[in-house]
Amino acid sequence: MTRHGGFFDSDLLARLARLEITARRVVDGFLAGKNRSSRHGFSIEFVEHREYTPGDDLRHLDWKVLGRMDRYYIKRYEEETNITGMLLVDASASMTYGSGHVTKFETAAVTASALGYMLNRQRDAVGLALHDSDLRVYQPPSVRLVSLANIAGELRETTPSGKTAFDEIVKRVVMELPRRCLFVILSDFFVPIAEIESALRFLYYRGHEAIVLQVLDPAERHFPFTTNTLFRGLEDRRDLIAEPHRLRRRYLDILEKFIGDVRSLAQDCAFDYQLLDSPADVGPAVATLLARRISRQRTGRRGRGG
Amino acid sequence: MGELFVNPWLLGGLALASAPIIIHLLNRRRFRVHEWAAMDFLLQAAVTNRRRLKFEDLILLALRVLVIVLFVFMVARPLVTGGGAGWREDERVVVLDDSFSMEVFTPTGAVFENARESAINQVQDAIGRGMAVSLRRGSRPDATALTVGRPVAEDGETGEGAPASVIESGSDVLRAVRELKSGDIPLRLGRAVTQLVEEAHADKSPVFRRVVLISDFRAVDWLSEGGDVAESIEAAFHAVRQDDMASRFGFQLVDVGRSDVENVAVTGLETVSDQILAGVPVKLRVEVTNFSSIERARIEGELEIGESDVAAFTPLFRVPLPPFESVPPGESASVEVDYTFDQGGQYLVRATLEKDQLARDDDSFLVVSVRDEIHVVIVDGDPGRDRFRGEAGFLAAALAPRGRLTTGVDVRVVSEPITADLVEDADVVFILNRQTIAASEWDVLEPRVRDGTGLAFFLGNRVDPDAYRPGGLNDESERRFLFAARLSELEREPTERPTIRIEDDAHPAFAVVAGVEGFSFRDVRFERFFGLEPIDGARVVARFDGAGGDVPAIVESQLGRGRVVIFNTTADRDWSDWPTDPSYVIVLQEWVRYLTPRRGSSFNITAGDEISWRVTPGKIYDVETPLGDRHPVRAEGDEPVERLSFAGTSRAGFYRLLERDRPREDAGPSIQPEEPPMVRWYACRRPARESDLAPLGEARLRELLEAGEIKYSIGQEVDVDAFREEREGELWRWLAIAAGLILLTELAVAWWFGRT
Repeated sequence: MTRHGGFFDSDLLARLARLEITARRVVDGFLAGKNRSSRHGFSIEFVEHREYTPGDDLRHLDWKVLGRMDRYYIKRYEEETNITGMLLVDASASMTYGSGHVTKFETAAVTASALGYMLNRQRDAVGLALHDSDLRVYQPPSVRLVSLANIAGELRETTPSGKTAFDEIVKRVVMELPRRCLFVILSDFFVPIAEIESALRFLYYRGHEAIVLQVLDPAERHFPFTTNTLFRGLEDRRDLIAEPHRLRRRYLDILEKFIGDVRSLAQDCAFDYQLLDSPADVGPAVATLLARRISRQRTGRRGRGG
Repeated sequence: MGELFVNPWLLGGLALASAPIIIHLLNRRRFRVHEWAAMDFLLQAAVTNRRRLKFEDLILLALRVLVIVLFVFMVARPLVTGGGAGWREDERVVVLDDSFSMEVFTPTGAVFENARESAINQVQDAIGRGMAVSLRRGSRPDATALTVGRPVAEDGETGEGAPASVIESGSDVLRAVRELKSGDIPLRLGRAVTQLVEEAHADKSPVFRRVVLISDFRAVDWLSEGGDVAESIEAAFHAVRQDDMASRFGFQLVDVGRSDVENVAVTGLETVSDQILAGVPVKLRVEVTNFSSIERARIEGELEIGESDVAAFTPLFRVPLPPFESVPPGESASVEVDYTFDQGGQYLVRATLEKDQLARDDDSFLVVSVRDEIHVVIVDGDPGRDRFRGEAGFLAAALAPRGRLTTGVDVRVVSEPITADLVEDADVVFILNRQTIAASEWDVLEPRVRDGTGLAFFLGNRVDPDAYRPGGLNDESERRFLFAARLSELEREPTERPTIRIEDDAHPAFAVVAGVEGFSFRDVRFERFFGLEPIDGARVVARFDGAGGDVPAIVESQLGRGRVVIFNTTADRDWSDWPTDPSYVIVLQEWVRYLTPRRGSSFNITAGDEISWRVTPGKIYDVETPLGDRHPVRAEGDEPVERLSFAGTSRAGFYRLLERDRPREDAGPSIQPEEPPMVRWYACRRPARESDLAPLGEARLRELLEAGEIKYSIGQEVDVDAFREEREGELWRWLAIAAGLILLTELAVAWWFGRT
């Protein structure tokens, strides 16, 4: 993957851009069409002005501007955002792993930035939560462009470290949010499955939605090592000397089971799940995820209409 | 361990068996460090696989260790024999042919030099392999010349009488072998092999001996004169085949001989007559044999004659030999030289030829014992009145005729009873027509005859047949050979007087007239004679034929070293006219020489024979060899011995026996000059066959060995595996197969365990 000006990958963004129009029509809150939104009016935070257009609710007309400048501007508030997105990115030490030129965190950061950018373009609020065992960065959701720049800056500047504490972090972030939102969770989920389950069910019961993006390195998926190796844990410095080829099958079995468990948990909570195991394939993977959501939305609408 | 393995020192390689374990441990210390995120899963995989991985590691390690152990055992070559017997380390026996045929000189040097270098290589190679090795001379296989790594047998002696030496250092080995010299004793290959087999029988441990024979492989060493394999070698092969000895011997044959050698040798040097008398001309005969493949012409040589009263042989006279005009290949020719020795004593004679490629056999040696005269005592049982009336008169006149021509015979006629003093100096005693011979007289005669004095009987009318029984009634006594016949009554006077028929014309006493036409002895008529029955062991030399009814006329017997003859007639004209016949003188002269002790023959021996002499009390003896070495010869123990002998006659030439007074133990320093020792000379000659250099040929050699079922290899180099392949119980092939299979198994198992 080629990086241009930070984590924004032009190829990735181009792919996502092509999906935007379709997504705007079908994705609830994720796309434009606020009239059909069921969540408008929740936010009271002013965001920006825009020129009045016929049909706009006169209640939002900025009388002060009209009085000073004799021009009609409509005040936009946060509540006008269709959805609040929260990018929950794992910045623990395990995310520093990368067998090639790209670490898992970089993959997660690129993906998060791309999705944040897409939400922002739809005038949706986007927030960021970077965590390891603690909540290292929390940026509340906002529709402002500068907020997006801040997200990108945080992602760029952050160096992953420490252990992962997923359940606790999710609950803390949820507590920070005033309304339901769409969580985009980017992590390798190298925590106990029970912790994952607890966090996802918590989100689910609180009415949040989530897109679970499990970020793994190709080496973690395929375990291609052959020579005698001392594996040293990134988070807890545990060591293991092993002949990798003799452990590979068992390791892959365990890993596949874990991936399956995470996927199952996500699906049980009606969350989208996507495995990102190759930096080069982030675009197609995200596109696949969105396409799947669109498909599901259409299916759901037809079902409701029928 | 040496009994169980061919190369036990290689078992040190078993230390390599630890290599897989060490490598395994080192590998655990050699790894690359990789920081890893999914440690939980990896640890979980490791925990669940731990037991299996350990098990797999153990299996792989065990297989790898086993492969190495099997490989090391394979190269160490374990031996298994039936009955639990084990093999000991090899022993090498180098048999060096040191016969003089090895002294052939070639453009590349003497053959013996090459043989010696080959022997050195063999000894060094064996030392390098940690084997026991011994070197034996082919001429004296009973004695070990050099031993490395094993104790020397107590009776081990070198050919020169020195004890075999145990040598450990390589430089000493080189020096000891280089000091070996060839001798003149033929290669005794059969005896060498038989000796080794006997030693192997005595040595219960199953040692495998490589016998390295370094020789010129001439036909005469292997074949009898008839062309068959020699009996001694046949016996040796038989011994090797017996009692599983074949599995304990392998023969490596190193041929250093040359097949293109032309050789002419002196194969004979002798006097034509047995008795050499001072002033009496004698013929010295020299025989040469052409062992070349081409005819040799005009071979020249000479006789060197020296006296005995010198410290070393010094020729006083050189007599050129008549040239041998033409000697075809494989044949012999001889020439005779007349020579007169002036006085009695020993003379040393050496015949030499012009040198050829084998110079050692271009001479030969002879000791001639010359008598001043032959002492004859005639015991006259019927003394006559004058010279030609009685028996003694005729006989004395025949033996010692008057005139210028000397016969060298000194005659003394007596008629008194026979006493020791009477016959003390007699070489021959004639007893003529004696009525009886008393037992005391037989007692006097017996030891003299046993010691070589000749005894002759002429009968006559006075003889009492029953009185001529020296053994008395005991017919089993050897003493009966003093008169080896039974006399019976006088034969009646025949109507036709018989003549004499000589039974063996080749008899030495008649050899001078053999083939002579008209020899008058055959025409002599005999009127009377005794009925005479020779006893067993006696030899009838002549019989009365025709009317004589084959009655023995001359009967000969042997007692000890002495000869006895009975003439069944009278010495005078009483019973025949023979005394008046010219043959009377000739025949009796020849008989006197025949009966006279042959002193000279015992002074001429062949290399390898013993020099033996009668011991004089109070004397000590030393023997000087042709090389100048002096060897004291003493009796073993304190008991006096009758004879002594010296066996170290390995070189041809003149040996000197010195007899001196034994020094008195209580005698102090004496200013008296020491008495000069009495000296006797012996001539040692080479066996004539040894000069025949005709090679046996490799094809014939292989044929003989294979017929003898002998394990052998031919070649200069040591082939370690030449015989081991044939050993029973070698396991290395099976070990190699097992190691290969286990290696394949290890590869398969490693692949299976490591498959992803």
